[in-house]
Amino acid sequence: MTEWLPPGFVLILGALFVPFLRGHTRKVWLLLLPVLGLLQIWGLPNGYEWNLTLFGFDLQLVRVDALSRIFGTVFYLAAFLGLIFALHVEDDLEVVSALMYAGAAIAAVFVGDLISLFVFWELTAVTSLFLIWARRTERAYRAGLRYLIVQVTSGVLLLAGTLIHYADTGSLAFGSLGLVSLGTGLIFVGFGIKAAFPLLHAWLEDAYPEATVTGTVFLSAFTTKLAIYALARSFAGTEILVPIGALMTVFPIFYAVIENDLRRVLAYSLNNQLGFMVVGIGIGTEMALNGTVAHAFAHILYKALLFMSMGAVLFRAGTIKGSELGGLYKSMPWTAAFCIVGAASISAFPLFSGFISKSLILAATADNHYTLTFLVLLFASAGVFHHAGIKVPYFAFFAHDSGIRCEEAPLNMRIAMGIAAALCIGLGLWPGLLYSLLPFPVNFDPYTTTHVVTQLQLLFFAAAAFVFLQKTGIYPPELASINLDVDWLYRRAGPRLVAAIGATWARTREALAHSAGRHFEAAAAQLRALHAPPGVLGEPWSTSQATLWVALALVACLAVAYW
Amino acid sequence: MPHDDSQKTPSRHWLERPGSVNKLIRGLAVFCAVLLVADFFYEKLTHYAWEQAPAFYAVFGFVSCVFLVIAAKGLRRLLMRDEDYYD
Repeated sequence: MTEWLPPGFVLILGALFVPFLRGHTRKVWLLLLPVLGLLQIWGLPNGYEWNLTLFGFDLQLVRVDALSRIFGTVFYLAAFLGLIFALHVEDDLEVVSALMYAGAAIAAVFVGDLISLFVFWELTAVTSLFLIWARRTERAYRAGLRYLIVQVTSGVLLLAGTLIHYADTGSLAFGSLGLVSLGTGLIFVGFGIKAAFPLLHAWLEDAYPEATVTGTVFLSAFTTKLAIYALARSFAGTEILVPIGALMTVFPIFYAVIENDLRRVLAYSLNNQLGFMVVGIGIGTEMALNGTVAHAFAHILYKALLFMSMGAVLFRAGTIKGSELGGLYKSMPWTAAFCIVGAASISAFPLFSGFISKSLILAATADNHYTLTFLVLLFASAGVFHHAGIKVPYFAFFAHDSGIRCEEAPLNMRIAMGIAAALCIGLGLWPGLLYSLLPFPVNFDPYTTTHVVTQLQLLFFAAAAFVFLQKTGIYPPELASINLDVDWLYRRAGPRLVAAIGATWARTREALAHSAGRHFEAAAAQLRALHAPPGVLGEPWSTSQATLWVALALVACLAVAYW
Repeated sequence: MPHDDSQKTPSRHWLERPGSVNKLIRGLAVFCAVLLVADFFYEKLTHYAWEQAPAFYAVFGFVSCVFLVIAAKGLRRLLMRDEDYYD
């Protein structure tokens, strides 16, 4: 298997059998696939390559190195956790597309050329779409269409950039590119769309919360982190990424504070976490890149955990709006506890995974004298604790009692959340486990006195601020509402503009027709008089008459020809 | 922290009893105080000089969050719409 199947194909091909399996066989099959896949990539040595030439293009289906291995590993972990969480799902569409989506993302991580990358890049777009559509609501259908358009645009930019880059350099290698030409610029924007750069981000917050309970868990893991991987591979040290990333950490947290849909709050905080990774890529030193990769790894696990806990709430309580929830700790104590572990991890509490990964990026930012960026990231760190760390668990499980009494999450969901929570704590307790997988050697200890105390100060005083704002009534209540984001441009402003242009055109045409109408009518009457049956040219001719005219025409032609 | 016994017993959860929330808040205040005092009892190894200021991180954390929430609340006036705005 290790030799004749590229990584990720275990899931893609394995998915084809799922519709024919039922009951326990199906569950065993689903859980076996990611385990096999993980064993496969760990059976391949660093430096392993699988090259082939197709239509004269040099393609590389497999390239194993530390960077692709660690992303492949965490993608398989995420697929495994997601599949346990979704083990009760009987909808073939959802399960098959989740498997293929995960497989496509893993395959994309291991390819070594831009054409193959494009193929799997688009495959992740198409397969993930069905995780949104499987919700089977009108809202999800429309959100899915918008999602597809954005994702395909990203792929088209990647392909266009690749072709221009190939014409420039003759190379298709998916390696370090740098922002040096039109071609690499297009590739950069293509990656940037999937990485949810500021202003290109709205698809994420728009679509993820509309997916199914289990679909969002898968979505949160793969697409954006594939883009982070691609940026780290091709644009490490591209300085513009530092301000882009810093901006990304900041603006989503303002939205997160006032957003009512708790899965959308998590989508905003996902965007904020991607910002930290993008900053690390922009700095581009070994330590910064280690930080980005470590943070992506930790982030996939705690983000999946958070989306699982909110998915479980949606599944049991039937709503995920902060304004309708509250007091669920009584009905769902396990889910609440797991959610708090995820919240502590994303907030980078010492002993939890986010602490040991994010601090690498912050240390690299300070070491390379990005002072303003450092302060922005600190602000964002306090902010992420505020909305993802406190707000999400607080409004779902505590706050005022909503009166909702429901069952605890199903066993499979609790097992998935339990494993994810254990991983979050395990990584926090033994950072060496993760550090040993990173692409560069790590010489960093997150647990220094200074670091622990300063981080605890930041977080506890952020918590104190929350209490202060709640007690004084300044804290904005959860309201049944939505907030306008960049997607307003194509959901409201664009359609209105097109409608306005259409209406103006229709009016203009009418006015023209009216003023010119009489002239047109006169001309039309003339033509009718001449060509319609009673007119001179409309009359049927006799054969002799026609012959005479043809003969005359012939004479005229001869005359012209012999002139 | 939630406990599993809440489902079975009709008695009120610890969190619901009067005074419990205040105990939590007092606990938080004690923790914050300890962290502030702690700043004077170790050698602070920082990258920037201004990080050396006592309670720098505490003040930064508190002020950022208050600013964040008040600014976000202000943004609501500009950005908030009905739930069915796009439908």
